Amino acid sequence: MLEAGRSAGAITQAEAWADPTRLHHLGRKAGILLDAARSSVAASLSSIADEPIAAEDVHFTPSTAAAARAAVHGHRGRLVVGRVETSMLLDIADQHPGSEFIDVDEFGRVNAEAFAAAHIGSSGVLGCLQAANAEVGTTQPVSLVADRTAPSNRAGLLVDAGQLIGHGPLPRGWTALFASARDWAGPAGVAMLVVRRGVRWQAPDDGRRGWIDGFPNIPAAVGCAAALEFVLPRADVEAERARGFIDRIREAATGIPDVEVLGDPDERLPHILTFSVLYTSGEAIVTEFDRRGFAVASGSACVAESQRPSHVLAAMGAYTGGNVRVSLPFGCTEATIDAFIRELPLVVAHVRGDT
Amino acid sequence: MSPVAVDVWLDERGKRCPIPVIALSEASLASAPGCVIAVLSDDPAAAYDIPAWCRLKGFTFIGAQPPADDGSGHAYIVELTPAV
Repeated sequence: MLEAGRSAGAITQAEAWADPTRLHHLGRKAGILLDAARSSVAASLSSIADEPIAAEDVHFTPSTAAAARAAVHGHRGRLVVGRVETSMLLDIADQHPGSEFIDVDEFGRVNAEAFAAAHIGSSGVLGCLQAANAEVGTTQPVSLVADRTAPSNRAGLLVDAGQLIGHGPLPRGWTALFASARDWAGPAGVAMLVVRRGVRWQAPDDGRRGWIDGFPNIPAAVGCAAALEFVLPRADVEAERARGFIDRIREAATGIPDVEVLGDPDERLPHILTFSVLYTSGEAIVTEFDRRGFAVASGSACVAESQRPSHVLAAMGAYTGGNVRVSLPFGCTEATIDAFIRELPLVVAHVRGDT
Repeated sequence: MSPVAVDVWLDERGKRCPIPVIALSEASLASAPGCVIAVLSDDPAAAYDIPAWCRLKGFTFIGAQPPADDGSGHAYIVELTPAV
């Protein structure tokens, strides 16, 4: 977590514990700080969006699940959903009547034509599409879908901006968007939903002046805004560095026999790389990297609570065993990458029992 | 799927990733081109990883069928010929 978010949240903690809907002065003080956080997020996001975003368009929530539920709240039409959305969103879609799921190619990218065709079919269809896949990094054709469907579809396009904000510009044409502050190294326990003006949307009843779902966590909202203000001006430089680092790791992984590097090599998030190491278990690789001081994730069945492989890897037809997902933190150094690239073949040899 | 004559049976039931794919790989190295290998596996990952392994190795994945002995899992049928 970034210091900017931590200290802003800590300062707010002492000042803003009251309910911002109350009329007493403590409530008003809380309300002012929440409004300031909304304004800050609106200004930050406007700098990476195709159209300006107003403070009233920004709603904080305790989680992306709460944000997505609020976005779909009151929507009676069908949903059209990418097959590799997060499990959270797929769960919402599974419970919504008449949801349609759009398949992906070997890179994990939905077919834009198929998505647009399903989305445009009738006026009340809400499209749900991630900006990029958080597991394999492939970007989704959000702008392309929006170009095709926007003129005729009034229900709109809900975009999961997970892992994108702080790493690249927003796609164009979305009508609602959600993301977690964790994506830009902000505090846990806060996410946001942004809904464009003029979009047909019925806000949930328990929305309290900028906070939806539960009692407003104003220190978290302020920390989320402060971290975003810190990260965005540095995002381009950081993304450029990350892209170079990831290219180096990709090259190193490709050089190891029987390794499948996953996701689109070009149209992708700059800071994430995923690959599968044949004849190894994801659990053994994660444990061995951890022993050597690197925290990596895995979509293999053996590391999942469900004991099933990641639905993203499965939908891509990828090899799911020995899966490794590398996500670079902000401020990752060249020395860390050098060390990772040095250790990678040793880890693989170790878990394959070649040593 | 039409019936195919299986040359090598591997019973990998009760074993988890990566054991069934390692067994398949070793059997493929010990078998002549054109051989048909059946891997019996009840590992949920096998349904994805055996077809993906065939794709990466350039072999033909014929399909999955229930095991002949009505036991658990599936028989994954692989032919050691270039995929068409």
